[in-house]
Amino acid sequence: MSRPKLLVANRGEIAIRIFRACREMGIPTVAVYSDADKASLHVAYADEAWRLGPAPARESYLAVDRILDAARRSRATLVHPGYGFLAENAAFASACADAGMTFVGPPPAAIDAMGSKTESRRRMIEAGVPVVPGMARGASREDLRAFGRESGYPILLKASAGGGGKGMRTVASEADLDSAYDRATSEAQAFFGDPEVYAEKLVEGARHVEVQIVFDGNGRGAAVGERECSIQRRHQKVVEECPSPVVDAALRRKMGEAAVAAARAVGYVSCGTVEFLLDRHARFYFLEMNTRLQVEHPVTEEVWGVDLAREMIAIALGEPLSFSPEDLSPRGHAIECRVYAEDPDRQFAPSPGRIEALSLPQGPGVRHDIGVERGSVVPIDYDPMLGKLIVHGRDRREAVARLARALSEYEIIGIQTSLPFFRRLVTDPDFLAAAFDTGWLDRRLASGLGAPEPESDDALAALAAAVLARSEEKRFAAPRRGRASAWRDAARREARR
Amino acid sequence: MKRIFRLVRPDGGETSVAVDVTGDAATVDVGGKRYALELLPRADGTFVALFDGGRVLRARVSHGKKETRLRTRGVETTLHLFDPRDESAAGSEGEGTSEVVAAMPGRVLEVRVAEGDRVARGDLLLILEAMKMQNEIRAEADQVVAEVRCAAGQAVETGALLLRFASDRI
Repeated sequence: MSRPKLLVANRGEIAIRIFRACREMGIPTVAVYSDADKASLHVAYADEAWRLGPAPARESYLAVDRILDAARRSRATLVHPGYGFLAENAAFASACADAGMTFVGPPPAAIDAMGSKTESRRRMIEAGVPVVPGMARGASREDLRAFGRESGYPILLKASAGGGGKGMRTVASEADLDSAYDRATSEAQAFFGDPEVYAEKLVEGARHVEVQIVFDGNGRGAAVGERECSIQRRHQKVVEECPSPVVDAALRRKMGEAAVAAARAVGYVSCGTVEFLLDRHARFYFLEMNTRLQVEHPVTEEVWGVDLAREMIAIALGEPLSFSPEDLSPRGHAIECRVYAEDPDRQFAPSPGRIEALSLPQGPGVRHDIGVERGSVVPIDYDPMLGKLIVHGRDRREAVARLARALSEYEIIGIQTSLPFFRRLVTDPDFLAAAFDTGWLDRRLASGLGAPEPESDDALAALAAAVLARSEEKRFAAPRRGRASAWRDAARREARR
Repeated sequence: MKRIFRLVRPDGGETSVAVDVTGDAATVDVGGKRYALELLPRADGTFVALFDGGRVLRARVSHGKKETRLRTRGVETTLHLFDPRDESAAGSEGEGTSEVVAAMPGRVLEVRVAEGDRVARGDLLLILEAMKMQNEIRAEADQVVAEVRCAAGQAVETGALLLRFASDRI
């Protein structure tokens, strides 16, 4: 194989994260960009950059032909999809291989097998991985009644052909079954052209706990701990932790074994994540597998000491695992906050624009994976995540204190961000007690996440009044009329500070 | 230089705030409580205030038309701090306008004022390049800039709002 050179078919913080690993490995890097991203940080960080096309993702970061064209022209030997865009797209992985490049990720067949909910569920049952108790597809009204009696209520009706919450109904008791069945089947017919529904047991109060796995090309694999991702807003993860506050060593081993079995069942190679629902009785059920590097991978890196981005590239180059699975042990606790260009006071509406000032927290246990700098313009065309703040401490209590301290130092001026939301979150009693499930944050936001009233402090009024009077004094020190002079301009600049 | 402000508390109560500022040093009386402080402006636009008694506050202060916002350690506080003179609307020459709009399509070359600035009649507000000409746009009255809606380098269309003034003239 010729000398490696890696192209990242992505943008923002994840492109930079992968470039960093490359620079440590001595691998030259290639960025691709849309017209909206020409001046962005990931382009400036790379050794080479190639234009893809206009801002819309369809014509840039999702345009397979243009990405492969850039890879050919730059003579890249490796193509990394990052997350989102073309990650988990088996056709893209195949197209890279067909073009003579190495796709940094799992084999296309593994992506395909895990891409379909029903297919992956079937394969997991075969592999002995626990799935949410449920029925085979295609249930009549009578089948459902029997299932409900056997498994107990509540149950969840799902469209066989479904997805995205459409055709999905929670049934609290048998009395509600008939009407729920009618609505679910008619929704399924309307959305998917197929009225068939089936039922799963509803896992109440479940947490989202996922296991990081790494497999090399020789079939040697390991689970690298779990992550707690229950803090979600409308099914989108907002805060992630490692380890999960409710998983002990014995449960970790059991979940790790199930995750490794799941990956092995589809012939997995590379880094990946097996997601589970974990109920109040420490029973866990396979949810889905993410066949890529995840947004929240840094919390695992901090606690387990494995550079997952680097590992993924090394495996793509044919190297074996860089560690012995039995030598791994967790150290401390890490928490990640996804910092978005969103306004928490306006239902998290996107807030694109120019970042006029940026102060990043520093000090012990603070890491930033961030894709913007002062002067960056956040475009309207893509996901508004700016980057991630990751903190590490020797236990959860220390990590939470570090997070609160880091948030007090963090400042982004020019656009609205989710930072004020995180400042409220870190004072919430449930968050401090790690008492949450996947529905917790939405319920909390509906009832109003507690914003502690700042104490009334007249020193602040004194400060504000002094600043106001001072700027006026500077103004009066300059001539108010007449020819503009450098002296007057200087005074004005001063007054505006 | 001495100034008096009126502070409206969240409960509706009012307090008088008297400021005496000389250079970067200020003494402030907030409803009988006296503060002496030194203001150190920072390159990022924030101020570090060193109070007599040792207290330190670092804050970003932005003055709007109706409120003043302070951010300290990530916590934002909104204060209602008024200048009684603004409210008396003691007139000076010139009618003034409530806003400045672009008379033709062009590009903003320079913005010479910021939000909260007091400008005097004839002061240069901004320079607009249109039809290859540089047009100086000047204040028509003594006014307070409430909002700057353009930035240097920005292309603007006819009728685009460039600046807004506080409704009350000085």
